[in-house]
Amino acid sequence: MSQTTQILPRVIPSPRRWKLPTPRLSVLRGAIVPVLLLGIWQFVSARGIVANLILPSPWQVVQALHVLVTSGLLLSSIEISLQRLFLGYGIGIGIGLPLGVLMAVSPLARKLIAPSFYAVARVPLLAWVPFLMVIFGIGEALKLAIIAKAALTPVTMNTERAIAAIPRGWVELGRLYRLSWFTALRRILLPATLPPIFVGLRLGLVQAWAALVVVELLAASRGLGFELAMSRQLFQLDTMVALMLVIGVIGFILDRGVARIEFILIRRFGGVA
Amino acid sequence: MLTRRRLTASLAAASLLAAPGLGRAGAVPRRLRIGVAMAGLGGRPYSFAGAVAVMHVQGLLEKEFASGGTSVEWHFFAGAGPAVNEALANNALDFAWQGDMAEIVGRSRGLATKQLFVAGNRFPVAVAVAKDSSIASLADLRGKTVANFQGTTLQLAVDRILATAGLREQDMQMVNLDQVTASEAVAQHQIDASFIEFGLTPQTEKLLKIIYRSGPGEPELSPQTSFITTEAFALAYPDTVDRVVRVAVGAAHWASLGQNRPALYAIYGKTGYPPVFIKSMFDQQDPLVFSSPLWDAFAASQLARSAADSYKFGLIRTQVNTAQWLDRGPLDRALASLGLQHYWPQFGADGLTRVS
Repeated sequence: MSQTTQILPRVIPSPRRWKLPTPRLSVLRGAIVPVLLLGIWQFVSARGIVANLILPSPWQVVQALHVLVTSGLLLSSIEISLQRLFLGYGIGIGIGLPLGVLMAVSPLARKLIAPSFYAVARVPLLAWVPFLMVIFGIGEALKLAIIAKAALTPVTMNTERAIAAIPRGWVELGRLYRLSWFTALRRILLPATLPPIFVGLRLGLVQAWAALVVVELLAASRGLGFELAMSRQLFQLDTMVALMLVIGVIGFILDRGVARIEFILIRRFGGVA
Repeated sequence: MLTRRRLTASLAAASLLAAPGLGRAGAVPRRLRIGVAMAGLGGRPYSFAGAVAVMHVQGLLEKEFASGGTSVEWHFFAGAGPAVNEALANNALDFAWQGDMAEIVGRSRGLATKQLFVAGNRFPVAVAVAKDSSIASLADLRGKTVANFQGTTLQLAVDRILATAGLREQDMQMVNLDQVTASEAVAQHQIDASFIEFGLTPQTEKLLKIIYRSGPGEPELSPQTSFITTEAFALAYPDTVDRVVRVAVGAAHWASLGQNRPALYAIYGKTGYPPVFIKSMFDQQDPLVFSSPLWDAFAASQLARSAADSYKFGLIRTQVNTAQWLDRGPLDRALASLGLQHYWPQFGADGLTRVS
């Protein structure tokens, strides 16, 4: 047994060594566009090219952000929104992962489910909203359903593809070596499927976050999306822009978070990207 | 303050470019752009805007300005006051009919406008719940999911009405829905209650019951709507502002005549709201009081109260002084030229004591 596990890594391409670029340089490069945009923004608002009431200056947005933070509104809104996100995302993964696996391993299940699934996936999320509203009302269930739906599609599709794309040779090799169930999972399944599945998980999270904001804009009484809509209704566009920035930053952090988990897992189990 | 001054300056500069004859008598604009903070059912371009609705449907401004080559553009905003404010900030409107709350929000943010005349106040606000609901009073709303059209003039009335029962928005789950959607949501049991001014369609009316309605004895709770112009426009075309207000006062007079009621309801009917509904809403109003364009003590105090309340309820972040906002000149001149100075009754600040 120990022999096989020693041999296998040589046959299967060794886990790709992930090299992150030196952080300082990447941060600098990543900052070029934001700084440029900030400059254009400052220029446009200072010159009054767009009315100040419509496009507040960066400094006004900073002040609005300060008010949001000190009033405690920002933190409580983020809390509510993240709770919704993780619950809805959890439901989406909970359905999406098994569904993807099922469609990949069972030809019958694939024939039965895939046409309906892809038909459903092709309907844009926004087109689902009125229908889901009729079914779930405008309460919390609607929000969770929409977030789950947003996460479900990329998770299922990528999971299915990941498993379907495991090289036949690897599986046969595993059979040949009579690998135990666990070793096959550890040595073949995980390295082969982790990266593509994580692509789905990351896409799912980003889309779930976007869907959350949309659904909170619709009918909510708390949360970041609600505050965004409210600030527009009350003509506080500086607050609106501040909230947009917060939403963007959180989306970025979430994406990086999943990427980080992916990085750790791939280092642990190996993987072929 | 800086923003307001800067905006005024840029608007004034823009109008300077557009109008070489700035402020000179006789300068005529190429077009009048009028925004109405309401749209009918399904977005129909009609409203309940009193004299403003009469001017629109009867084409009175188009007739007034036809000879001078000035065109009249009407814009109806289903997004109500907040959408009108954005259009004003984009310098896309010269005049607007709006509720006091949205006007105050705009002014607190630096929109440079002038108040010309009142176009509807004392309108009752009701709370609708499903027929089988256990909610029987305002106090029962605590902890419930309640709809309100946030940022519009209704929100302010709602906050005032809640305060009469010792409640605040935070005591319930407030969802932001327009009035028609809100009453449908109540009928479908998706939310518990909705505040409505108009927005009860006959389909939903059967499924709902009204548990509260602000009465004629408490006019200070009700929203007030008025007609405003931008400072830049008033500066560039004072004569045009006078002419618009004169036409509007004529329309208000027409709307105040009892015999014109059926015709007025037909104008309101273009919004898509059924005649029965319109009749039930407006029959309770005294046309002389409801159609009065006057800034009497009640209307002026109501605007000031709305500004103070908006600040108190946290809807604006900087206080608004309403005294310098009213531009009574065009209205006074219109009343004098039409001989209508004493036509409409005037009320004291409380809205109940008739002073003339």
